[in-house]
Amino acid sequence: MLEKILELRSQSKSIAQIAAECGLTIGQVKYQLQKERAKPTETSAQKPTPKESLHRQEREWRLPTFYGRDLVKAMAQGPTVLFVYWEITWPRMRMVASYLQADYRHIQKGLRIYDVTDRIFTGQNAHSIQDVHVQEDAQSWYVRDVNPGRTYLVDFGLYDHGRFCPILRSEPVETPRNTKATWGEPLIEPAPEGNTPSWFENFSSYSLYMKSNK
Amino acid sequence: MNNGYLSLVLHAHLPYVRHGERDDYLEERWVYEAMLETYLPLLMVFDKLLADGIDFRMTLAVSPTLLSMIDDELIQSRFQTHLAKTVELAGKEVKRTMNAPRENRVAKMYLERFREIATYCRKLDFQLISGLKRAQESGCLELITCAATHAFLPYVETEEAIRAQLLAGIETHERILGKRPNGIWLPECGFTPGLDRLLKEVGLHYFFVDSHTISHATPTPMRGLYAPLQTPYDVAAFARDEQASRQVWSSFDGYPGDYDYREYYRDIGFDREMDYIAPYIHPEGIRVNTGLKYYRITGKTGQKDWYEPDWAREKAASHAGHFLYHRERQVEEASSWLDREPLVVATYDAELFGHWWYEGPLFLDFLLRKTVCDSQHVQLITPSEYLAKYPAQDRARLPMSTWGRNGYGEVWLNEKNGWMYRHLHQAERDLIAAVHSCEIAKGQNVKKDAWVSRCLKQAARELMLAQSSDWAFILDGQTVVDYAVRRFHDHLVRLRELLDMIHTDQQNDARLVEMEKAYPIFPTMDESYYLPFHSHRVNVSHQMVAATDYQQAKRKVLMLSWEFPPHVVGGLGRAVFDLARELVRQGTEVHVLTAAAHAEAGQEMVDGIYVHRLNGYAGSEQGDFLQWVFQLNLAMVDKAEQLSREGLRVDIVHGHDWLVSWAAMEIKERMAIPLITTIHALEHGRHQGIHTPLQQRIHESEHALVSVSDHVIVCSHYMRGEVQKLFGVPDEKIQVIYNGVELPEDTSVQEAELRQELSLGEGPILFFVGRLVREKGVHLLLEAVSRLAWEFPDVRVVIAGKGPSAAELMSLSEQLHIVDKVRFLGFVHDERRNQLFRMADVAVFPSLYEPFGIVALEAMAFGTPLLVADTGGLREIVRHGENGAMMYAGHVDSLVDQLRWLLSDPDMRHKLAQRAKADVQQNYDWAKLAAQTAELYHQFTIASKWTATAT
Repeated sequence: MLEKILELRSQSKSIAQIAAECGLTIGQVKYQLQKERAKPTETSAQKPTPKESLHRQEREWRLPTFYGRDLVKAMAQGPTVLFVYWEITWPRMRMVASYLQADYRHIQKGLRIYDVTDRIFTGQNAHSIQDVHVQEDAQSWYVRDVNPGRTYLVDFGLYDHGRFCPILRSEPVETPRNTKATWGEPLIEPAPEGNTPSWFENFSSYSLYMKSNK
Repeated sequence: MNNGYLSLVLHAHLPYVRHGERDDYLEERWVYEAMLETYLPLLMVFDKLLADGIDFRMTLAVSPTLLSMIDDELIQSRFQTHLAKTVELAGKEVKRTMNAPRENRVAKMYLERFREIATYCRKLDFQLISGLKRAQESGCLELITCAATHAFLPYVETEEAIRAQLLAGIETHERILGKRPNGIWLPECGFTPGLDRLLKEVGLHYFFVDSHTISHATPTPMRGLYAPLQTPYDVAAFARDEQASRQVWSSFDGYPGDYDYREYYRDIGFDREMDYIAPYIHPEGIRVNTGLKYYRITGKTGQKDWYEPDWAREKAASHAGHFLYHRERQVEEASSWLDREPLVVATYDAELFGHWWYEGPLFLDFLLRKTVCDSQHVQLITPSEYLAKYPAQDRARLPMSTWGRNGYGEVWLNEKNGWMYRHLHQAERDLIAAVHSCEIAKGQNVKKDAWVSRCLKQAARELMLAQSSDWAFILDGQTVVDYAVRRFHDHLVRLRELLDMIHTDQQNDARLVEMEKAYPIFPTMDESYYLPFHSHRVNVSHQMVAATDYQQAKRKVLMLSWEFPPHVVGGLGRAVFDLARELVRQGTEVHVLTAAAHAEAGQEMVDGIYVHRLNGYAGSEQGDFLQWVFQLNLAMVDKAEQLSREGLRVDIVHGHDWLVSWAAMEIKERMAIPLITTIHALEHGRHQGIHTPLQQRIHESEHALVSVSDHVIVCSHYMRGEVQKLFGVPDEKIQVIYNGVELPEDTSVQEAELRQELSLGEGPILFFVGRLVREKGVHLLLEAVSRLAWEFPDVRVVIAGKGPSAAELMSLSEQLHIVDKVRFLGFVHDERRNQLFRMADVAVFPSLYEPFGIVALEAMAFGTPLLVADTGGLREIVRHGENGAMMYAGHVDSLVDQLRWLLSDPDMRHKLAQRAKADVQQNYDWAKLAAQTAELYHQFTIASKWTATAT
């Protein structure tokens, strides 16, 4: 019904005409239209005013696409989904290309997700490893089948003759658990005084960032 | 009898949508609508309850952005206009509906209502703040805060930026409401591990989370959802009650959907003729809600009936009763098994009450009255009061969570808005870095400092405004996308512009004032919220200034070496260490980047050398050596980049061998500094040619490194010849600087004990130390010993070191029947090695290939008579018959001859050794060699400075 109303409306028919054509009262048509307007859809939701569109055209997009910083960042969207975004700078691509003796653009790229829960990661001691191929020009990716309540590290890397060669690593990120804790988990002691985090934390301190690459 | 408690919590928030330059922003209407329909009606409910002497309890979180707007004179005066127009419209409506009694009744209701609100506003002088404060002072209303701009905290990158959101929020709250908040409404109930540490740090005692956050806590909470939990940092987390939420929130069967309540989606702003309604909607004719709506929900269809105020009122009363009844059953049930009085926490968006659910404030009025006056089981309480009553809670860790769709972050992080975080995170880091470096640079020029500080404050405002979770939320819902994207974009662009103004020292005051005027939020913003090492900021910055001043004069060298003591395989690591140590002594600042290997990664200071031990991302050396080497190179580049970001300005990069070639070349290019390379050995020499693809790769790496380097150091004339022959390096680009040797301290040797331990008897000892590979020629030594066995029956050979040829050499000694004369010691530590040098009668190095031969020098330094092969660097060190003996490389006969000569003439051995020791002191002193290296650095830094100024 709503679709028909919208279609008629787009033909610039009056509400009375639409009501007659659809066999509705005028009030019903109005209700449908207002409710539709409040609904979050792109097509009919609050169109920008002409002035606003003009405004928008006048002003170009000024945020950089890249910031010139090698970076892999992993964020937990939920218990089973990680969002990973990255930036690989030209000089790094150049180095990698020189090592692999291949054109950077044509090398298959991927993410390696390490489950490092409760471990000091040495590169070898992950509980499990999961690889995801990403598209050539992708700059972010949703990794959809990780486990709840685990700590992950993500490497961005390339495939050299089918073998993964990591070139950049994220900070660890913890996925939330989505079930009750198992029976017999130890009691939690209060954190000691002081400024150093004693538990795993999902955000980094800039100072930590600067002083050590843990 | 009292069974338990109910805490009612409302969260009021709107993003900062004040637009000083224009008064026709649709988004600014959000504020006026919410003031008229929610905030004022709520205040009036509180007032009435207080006037009637009802001692209720309620908790209201007001976001700092909202607080700033309702405290804003411009907003207040624009609201006054909005209200006047609304009253006027209601008056017109009463006239218009004169002849339609059912409609007219509703119109009159609105007119009466709006007039009542107008009267109330005048009484407050349009200061909603004073209404809030009055309710707060009564003790019935607890006001709490929120993150400054309602940032979704789990997705903020740095703790500095989170701390700033918290501190700016608290400060705004206290400044406007006159009291420091005790608790916080985390935006979207967004919690993530570690947030509690910062909450504690800023002095907030509690927050709210969704129920699944508590039920999934570790360990499982014994009191379930009926008591708060304490995080490891002793901040209390209150769980929002699910049932209470659903009864109000549910779009399916929640109270607001009752057929007798007012229909939200039939506003006269959309229904009336344009001519009539035009003065009350957007000036360009965009239809908007006016707040006047005549229908009730009626049913699920579009067929709507007139609103009946009395019916709605009755429904609100009965819903309040229904709500209370269910809370009573809950606390009754819970109190039967709980060891204390249970608490039910009901939390809602404030804007639901009045704006969406017109009868919401009425419902609250009924609910609060009924609970206070009638309930036998439930008592109202604020979270602070509950914590005062029960100060100790079970402690648990809480998972990251929110009250959004599906309980986690997907509303604020999905395909529609995930792109925002790259920009937000970068902006955080940029702002923090700028605040940090400006703090250090402070104190030169007071006027400039003040200006920089203003820029930083405004930049902080822009960052915070960009961080509002509202933008991501709007993108998720796809409602006013253009506006949200524009706001997000503009704030970040302004931030970048401001930081740029600071960097380039352009004091564009007009522009700064323009920005300050456009978004005059948080007038008392303090940029030091963003300082790293928050608690010790003063000391740190002063130390750093002192350190930079002092270091200005020193030349700084970044040295790249794949190995460095204590983990050393060959002579390279040792040589780099000795050179670096001596350079430091002579006044050069040396930073060594090396592999962490078996040592822990991190930074340490060794004899004045800054040593940065690094881990690569992939595997160990055993797996794939080349990949491991490349990973180490990536790590070196990253570290160099990081040091440079921290302010270290290096004058020169000095690489050692092909293993650091990628990093050396990359760092040279990136930092535009000269690269000096020391070639210690060549792949071609090690294998007497290039035979495998791997050797080919290494050979090419060496070639590239040597070609790119501004200057090449080799440790012998022999190596100079090799490098020039293989890679065609011009004479002026290559220089010989010997490796040095540290003169050992004289310590007494327990020679007898050592002989006994190794059962060496009393005869002369031949000593070899080094890697057991074919190129070292140990097999020649074994053969020679077997030939001399008859002549010198007491001779014993001690071989220290390990390597691929070890097994082969052992079986060779069996074949030669000299097993009883040979001792393979494997790897020996320095101390043992030194003892062996001292005890030995001849140190023998019959190498086939030896670029330098540091062991020969060591033997000389120990005063051990020396016999070497006539090859490579050894040839330059040893002069036959003067300071040692020499054999033809690869010739057993020659080795036998020389051994016979030395073994039979102890005096000659002594003479040669004495001369050798003197030679070492004269030519291979690290102090001298480091001075030569430093001189080379000097030439190149001068040259590069000259080029820099010339271009």
